[in-house]
Amino acid sequence: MMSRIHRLDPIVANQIAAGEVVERPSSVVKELVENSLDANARHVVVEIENGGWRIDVRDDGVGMHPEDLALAVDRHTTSKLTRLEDLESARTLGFRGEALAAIGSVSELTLTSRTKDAKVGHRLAVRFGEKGRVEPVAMAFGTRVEVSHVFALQPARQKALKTPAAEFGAIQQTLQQLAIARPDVRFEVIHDGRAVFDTPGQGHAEGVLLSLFGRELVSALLPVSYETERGVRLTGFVGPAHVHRANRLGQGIYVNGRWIGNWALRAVVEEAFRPQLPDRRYPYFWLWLDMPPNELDPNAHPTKAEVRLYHEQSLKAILYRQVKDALVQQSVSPAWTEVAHPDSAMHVSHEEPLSFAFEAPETERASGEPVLHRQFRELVPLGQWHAKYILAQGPEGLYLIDQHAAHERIFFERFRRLGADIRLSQPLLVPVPETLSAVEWASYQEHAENLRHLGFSIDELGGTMIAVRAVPTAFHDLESHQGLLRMILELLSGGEAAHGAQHPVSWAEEAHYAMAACKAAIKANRPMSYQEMTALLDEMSRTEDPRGCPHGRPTMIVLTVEEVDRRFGRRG
Amino acid sequence: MHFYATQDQLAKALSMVSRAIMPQNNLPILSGVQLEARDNVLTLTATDLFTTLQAEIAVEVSQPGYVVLPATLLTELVQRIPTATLELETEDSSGKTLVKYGKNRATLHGFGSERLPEFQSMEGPGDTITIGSGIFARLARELLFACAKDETRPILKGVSIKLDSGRLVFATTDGTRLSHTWVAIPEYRGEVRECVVPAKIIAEAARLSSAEDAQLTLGRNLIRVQTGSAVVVSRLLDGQYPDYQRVIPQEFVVQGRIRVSDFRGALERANLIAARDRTSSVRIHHQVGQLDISASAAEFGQTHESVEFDSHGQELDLLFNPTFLLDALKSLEGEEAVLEFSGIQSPLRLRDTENAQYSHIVLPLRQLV
Ligand SMILES: Nc1ncnc2c1ncn2[C@@H]1O[C@H](COP(=O)(O)OP(=O)(O)OP(=O)(O)O)[C@@H](O)[C@H]1O
Ligand SMILES: [Mg+2]
Ligand SMILES: [Zn+2]
Repeated sequence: MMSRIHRLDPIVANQIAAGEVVERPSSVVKELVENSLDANARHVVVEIENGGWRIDVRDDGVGMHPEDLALAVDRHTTSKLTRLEDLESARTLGFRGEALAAIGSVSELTLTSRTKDAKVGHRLAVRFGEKGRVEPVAMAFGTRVEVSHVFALQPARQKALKTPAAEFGAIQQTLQQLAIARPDVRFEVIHDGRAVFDTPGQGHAEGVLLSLFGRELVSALLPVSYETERGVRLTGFVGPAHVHRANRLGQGIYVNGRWIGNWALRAVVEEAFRPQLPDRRYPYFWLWLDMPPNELDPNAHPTKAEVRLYHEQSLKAILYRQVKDALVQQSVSPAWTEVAHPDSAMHVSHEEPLSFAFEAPETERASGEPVLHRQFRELVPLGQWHAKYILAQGPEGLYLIDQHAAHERIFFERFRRLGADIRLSQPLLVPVPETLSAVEWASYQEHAENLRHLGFSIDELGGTMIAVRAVPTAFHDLESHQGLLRMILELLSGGEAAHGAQHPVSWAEEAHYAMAACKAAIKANRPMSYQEMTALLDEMSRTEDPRGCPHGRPTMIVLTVEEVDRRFGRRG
Repeated sequence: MHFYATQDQLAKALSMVSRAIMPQNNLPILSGVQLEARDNVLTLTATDLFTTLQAEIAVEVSQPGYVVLPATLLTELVQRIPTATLELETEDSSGKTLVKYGKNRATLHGFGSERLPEFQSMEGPGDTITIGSGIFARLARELLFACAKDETRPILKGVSIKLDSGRLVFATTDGTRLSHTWVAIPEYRGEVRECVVPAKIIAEAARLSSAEDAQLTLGRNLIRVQTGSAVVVSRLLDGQYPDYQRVIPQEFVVQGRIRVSDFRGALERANLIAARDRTSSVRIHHQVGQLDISASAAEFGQTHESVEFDSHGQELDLLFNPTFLLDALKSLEGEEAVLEFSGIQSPLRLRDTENAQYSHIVLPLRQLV
């Protein structure tokens, strides 16, 4: 039988950037478990002692031939690819042939493995880089890797480690991400003899999340699903925006079955939650992106935590939109699903869903905007409180609506809609020369077409020199016409506008609309009549995103009957 | 220091020089006004280190000396003093100053024995020109509204001055419009010189010389405007002023005369609508003999007016920022204006039929598709 491990061609080996594979116990765990996954394991058991002082990973994967054991712990030996081109399409998590060698050089490592066709397994011990002899041993199919005394010979590295509890925290987070990324594999995790989690391995992400986060959260999750023409598929779940936590343990983005630590993608997803997220609180989301392997470069970072995505900008836009949509959808009361009546549905246009007789006629405003959030049409104002909040009764309970924030949202969307129509540009008598910084130049290049559409007319003078010949008039509240381009470029490159990359035109003006909306909207301490309140709620139902005001404050709070019952000590 | 002054003269001089002071100062002494009494003359000085204002009034000095006092406080106090004369006395180097009026008195804490920081002195040829009374007021009206308001190109916040043989030429632009005017100085036969001065000095010179002639001196580093009793000095701005001559149109496709009040009224009404639309623009349509001025805002309505326009040239349809046109009309003196259009993508020139030196140009807006 041909042995399964080849030495990497030395050139290929060098082409793959070498790096620090092992930073702390959690990176050891990550490498070992990824090896198990690459070996097609269906069940992985991870036992940790004392925050990673001892690590034991067992799997039921394909195992290794005895002659491969010694090769496996050498550098640049991998069974996973032979030529660099293969890297492009690598679907395995490991491909460098580096992990075991690196771990073996800083710890005591024992590798034990048995393939399906072997009668016995074999064991090889490595002590801080010194290989022992391969010996036969009785065992079940699969592979077991035991690692202990990590960094025992490198006191400096060891000192850099945190408390065992903190190290285990990091290990747990790693394992959670791996388990969520692979719902088809059962993960059993034990720390100091205590079961930490055990995922079902049935292939359903909900099942994994259930075992990790409990029923209450999982039953509230909102599904996300989308597919692009380029064959990128997005699936997953987001938590409702009002459920959040103090850390980022409840989120993950997985690309082709691999958890990735891409902060830019994470940031756009968090941005979609922002209107309802208090400061320093983090939302729940788990999103899987599946794409053809040539859409990404998995080798961008030695610990493989970062992959380079070739169409990151458009992925960002997709993530933002889809998550936002899922959250906005959710603000339609789930109790309010309509079953279309076969004969009455015939002449009803798509814009205006069925209207029922009990809707008060005065709420039928002439506004041509479609009703997007029926929930608001179901609200019956009970009164105004403190001349600031509207109290209303509705399908989900008692609603407290901030009159200023709600009105502001309505104006904001109206201004944005009007703004999309006509654009004027003010030519300048004397073109203004500007030398852009590298960052500004990059974002200018990326958004040149959008800037033109916005009303800028720009000549390139060579290098990063440009001459501004005309500026948009849309920002007439702004004193500075001349600094406008710089300001917009800065925001575009600052990542703040990351999600707006797809619509930089309206994005760039949003702050302006928000300001105008704030001025136009009714303020607090303004008494409202019943009719006014009804009209306001009706208009809210026609907004695209009624959840927050353009400055990010929520527009309303819902108090459910269950919540009130609970507080009064009633049961159901 | 000890002197006697008349209340109204002192109050006037104080409020005049205080205008040099910036509302916020990180150098506390710059919020002060310096009083120096000597030879029966009181010299009041205030500065923001870019512009210095100085006034002199006659007082009766019983002991010469100087003190720097908080400008706003002193000015407001003196303005409220009910007696016709008052007395100021600084006892020692503490800066503590007694203000005595009738039987009453107030004590103000000055800045010890500190003086205002020394202002630069005039360098270079320093040509002096006489500018007749009221002329700076005209210049201020014609020029200052077209200065840039923001800091992105500081040079555009200033006023460009060109000293030519026989003419003193001024220009201001904020990048989208340009004011251009000149004053005849037949006596000047010196070299051609160009510089940029802060807008503030033109505004102050207009105040100082409303009723008397002023002496304008241009040095290499400073500009000074002096009248009988006061002087304002500013540092020149550093930097290159854009070459505005190139953008002044020379050929026109439409020329005509319009009554300023008619045009202004129509624009003001159109602006009521335009200001409510995010594009804030008015449409101006020319056909021989009339200008049609219209504006619309999706949610509010539209206006459409025709104004008699004694014109010749082609039919033309343009968009303008109405505020720019209104600003320009307000800067005119006469009842009639000359409008000259140079094309759909090129500037409109406005002039006064009564004052041939002044012209203003403004660029139309461009609609994007
Ligand atoms: N649990 C396992 N089951 C079967 N084979 C394994 C297992 N762990 C390691 N191996 C074998 O040992 C080889 C070396 O593993 P190692 O982790 O060092 O490299 P790699 O996974 O190929 O690349 P990387 O350094 O990117 O992880 C693998 O290519 C694989 O053939
Ligand atoms: Mg590996
Ligand atoms: Zn507000």
